[in-house]
Amino acid sequence: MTIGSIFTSPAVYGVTQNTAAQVGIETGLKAIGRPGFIVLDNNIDSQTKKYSAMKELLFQLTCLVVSLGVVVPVFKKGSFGIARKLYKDEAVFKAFKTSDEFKAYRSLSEEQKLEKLAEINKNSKTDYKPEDINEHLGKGMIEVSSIVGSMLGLSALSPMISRPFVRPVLKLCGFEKGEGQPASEKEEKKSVDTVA
Amino acid sequence: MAFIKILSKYLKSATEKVGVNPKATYAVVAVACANAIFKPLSTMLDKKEKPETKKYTALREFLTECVAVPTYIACGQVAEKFANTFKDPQKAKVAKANLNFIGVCTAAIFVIPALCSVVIKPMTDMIYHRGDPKPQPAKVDAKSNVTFENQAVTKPELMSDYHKYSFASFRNGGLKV
Repeated sequence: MTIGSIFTSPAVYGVTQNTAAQVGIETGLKAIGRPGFIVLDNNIDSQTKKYSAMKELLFQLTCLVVSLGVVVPVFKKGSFGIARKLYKDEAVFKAFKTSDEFKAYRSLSEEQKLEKLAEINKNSKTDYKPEDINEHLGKGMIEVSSIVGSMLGLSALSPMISRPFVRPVLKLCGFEKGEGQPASEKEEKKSVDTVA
Repeated sequence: MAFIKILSKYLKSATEKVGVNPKATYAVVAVACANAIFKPLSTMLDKKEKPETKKYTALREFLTECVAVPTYIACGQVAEKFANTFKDPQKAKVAKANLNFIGVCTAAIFVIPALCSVVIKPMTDMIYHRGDPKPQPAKVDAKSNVTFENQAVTKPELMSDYHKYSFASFRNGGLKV
């Protein structure tokens, strides 16, 4: 596999079209990269390196789990409910009750879509045609809800949850602060928080 | 009500745009903007820390996100340009999305830490020393040829622990802790 084939890979394209996957991979890379940078630093003692790297790894992993495991799914589920109130006339939010139903419809072929719409029309006594379904708006709503979920999860909730959780876990794993460690926890934090 | 209608109209077109092409840049920039608000806020709300330390930490966090936002956008845009090398329009479209994502990941792992190592310290220094007296040039005793360094420059106590980072030091030593 050449580098060029990665650039045009449909599998990678599938990932890049999913906000939750984008944020997950980016945070995962940070979880590997940031501790890596700390380990590369030659100006601090090994004990401090281990402590800081492990702390950063745990912090990023907590962010990842809280955000992608809890917050984003909740927002995704609620996205069509909110959209139905915002855009009352949009057939896409009337025809599909949840984002999962819409996703399943979107993955169908044109013929299968017609069959699915006929089934929906029969059950709900409506007359939706494929052109009535604004797929871009439906897809956009799922992605926007993922973005909002990631914002709240990664920026607001995860740091609050991880702070009391990380320190006891580090202690449990036998990681103690080294001699070169800054005097207060906050000073240590501000040095680690230098990257986005 | 009219305001809500106008807002929902714009929101609809923005949502559709995201639906057509959900770029990686949108998500990471949104998260960085949220970080710029919530991280300094949570630092300032910490009751256990000294006010000076809190201010300094919050400023660093805010400046970091200020560096991150344009970097994400620039790296995504620059990476996208390479998609023009593909002649097939379908391949070019796929490559554009993939390269944008790769650009954003590169920014997150390498470019932003490097830029922060170079930019943040001088910026915080500049903000913290705005009201301080300017250091006088070193006085030289002509008779003994001894140089007396002027001691007028004062740093906040909490900043004394920080080393001045350069890109060279980042390259050789990695992200400083």
